[in-house]
Amino acid sequence: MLDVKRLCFSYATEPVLRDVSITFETGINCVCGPNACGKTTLLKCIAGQLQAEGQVCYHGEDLASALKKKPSLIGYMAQYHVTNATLSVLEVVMLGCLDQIVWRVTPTLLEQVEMVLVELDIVHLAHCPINQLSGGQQQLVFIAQALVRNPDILLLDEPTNNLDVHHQFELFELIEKLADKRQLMVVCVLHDLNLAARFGARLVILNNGEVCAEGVPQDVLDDELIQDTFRVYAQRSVFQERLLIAPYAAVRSENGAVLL
Amino acid sequence: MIHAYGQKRRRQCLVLVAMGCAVLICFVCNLCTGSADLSWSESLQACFFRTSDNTMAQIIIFEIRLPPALMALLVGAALAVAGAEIQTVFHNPLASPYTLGVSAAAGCGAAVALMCNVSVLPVFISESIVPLSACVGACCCSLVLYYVARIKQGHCESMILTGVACAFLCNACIALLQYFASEDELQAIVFWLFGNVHRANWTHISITASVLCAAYVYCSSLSWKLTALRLGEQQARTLGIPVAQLRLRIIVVCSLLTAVAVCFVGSIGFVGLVAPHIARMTVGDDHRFFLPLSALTGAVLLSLASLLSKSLIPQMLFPVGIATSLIGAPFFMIMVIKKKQV
Repeated sequence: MLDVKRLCFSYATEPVLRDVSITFETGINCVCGPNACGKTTLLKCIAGQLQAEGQVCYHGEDLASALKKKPSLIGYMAQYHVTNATLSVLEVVMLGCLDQIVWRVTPTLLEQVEMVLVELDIVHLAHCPINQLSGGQQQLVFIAQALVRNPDILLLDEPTNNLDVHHQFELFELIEKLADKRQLMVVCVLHDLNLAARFGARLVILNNGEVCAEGVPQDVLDDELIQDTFRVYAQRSVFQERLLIAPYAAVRSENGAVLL
Repeated sequence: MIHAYGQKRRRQCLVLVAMGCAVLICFVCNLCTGSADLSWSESLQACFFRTSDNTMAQIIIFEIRLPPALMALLVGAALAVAGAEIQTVFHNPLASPYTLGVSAAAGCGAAVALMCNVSVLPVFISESIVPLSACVGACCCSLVLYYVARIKQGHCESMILTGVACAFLCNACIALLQYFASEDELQAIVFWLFGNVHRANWTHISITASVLCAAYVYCSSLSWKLTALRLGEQQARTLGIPVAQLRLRIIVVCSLLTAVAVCFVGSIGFVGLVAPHIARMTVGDDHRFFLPLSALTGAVLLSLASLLSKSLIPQMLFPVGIATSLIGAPFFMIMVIKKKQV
């Protein structure tokens, strides 16, 4: 259980997170919200990249001290970006264990990398240069990199960016399987409400740096919230006990202008 | 998979060994060519068998040809290491010690010293005043970069733009000095700017060698972090690397390295840009191989340039800086066109 307690953070004077308190549990936790609401900042604060006010506890222990004891506690995949590094997939995944490598690459590490590559079914790409892979394949490689250190917590920042619908579902089915198999806690920042509703065991909605709703997706995503927070009109329906959301128009202000 | 990785590593080691041999060959060739009338067999004999009947050849080789040959190796390696690291920390394939303005600042410092009338001073001071002044110039530029890096928390673009601005500023200063210089001074400045390894003496060599060793060992100890930095700033941060701090340290080390290399031999362009690219194209971005290969490639390139500068026009030395670009540029273009991914 990961407890975020009264987290505040600001870049310069602009507050980005205001008094955020969330509890994440084992399984897939999705974090959604409009642009610039502080989703990525929240992940960075959890990962310890940014120093925020407030506290993050993992099973009752302060996360920063838990991380000192076990640096591999968190696996973090940042937002997709093009990489031009001339490194093979194997080498990229290996870098996930940066804190274990001194100079030589040990056979143990190579075995560890191979296991993850087999798990994600990309072992055939092991010796391909990363800069020649498609976006989806690169995405999988970076997930492998986050997983190779056997983390307890997996932070994913918009993992479905640049993926077509098929690959989005394939990726999430994989994450679901992994979360189940490894008893992972996945915290996933997403824009796609349908994916969040389909795969998220829990959903947190951020708006303007504040938590405006959290809970089971079916309960959280009501018409009012979708209109107020995401500023779209949407048709909601239920299919196979899962919520489907079909947005069809942007919410306009009274004078007819689109709210930006 | 372990087997395949082992194979790749063996191939990378092989490339390193081959490049090491190339360095040795270039070095020996460099010792065997020069304006003195010595045949290859005489030169080789003097190199490896020291007998009393070839004292003259020995003096020519060990006292006249050895210092510039060594200096070419060291400066080539130093510029290449600095270029490799600067490209890595800035995520920019165009960055090199020259982009950061360090060498232009060194040129500016040298020009100032050359314009001052130093002949009234004792010889040992007047001899070292030009390199010293060049080094001070380069260090000033490094300081500016360092402070901008501190203020901007190592932000890539602002640093490169600052470097480029510094380079323009220093070049303007050099042009201004040249405009006001007398004919003799102008000639001295232009000659310095061309870059020349034949001014080298043993003090220069020992200083360059020790700075190069220190910088190399330091960068080498950060190999894995620098490799991870190649994945981009964001990704490196998620792997727990303090990117801004690392960048700042590397900038300091590399600008000092460039300052020392450039202040003794003058502006020698291109090596710092090309050598890392050649290394990357052959062994990839694993810094355990990339860094030494860059250094060796740099050494080979500058040695070849020095060889060319001695042998292109018989009985005449032309500046090695020109030769570097002359052989480097076409070779580099061929590499880019035929580029093969690792």
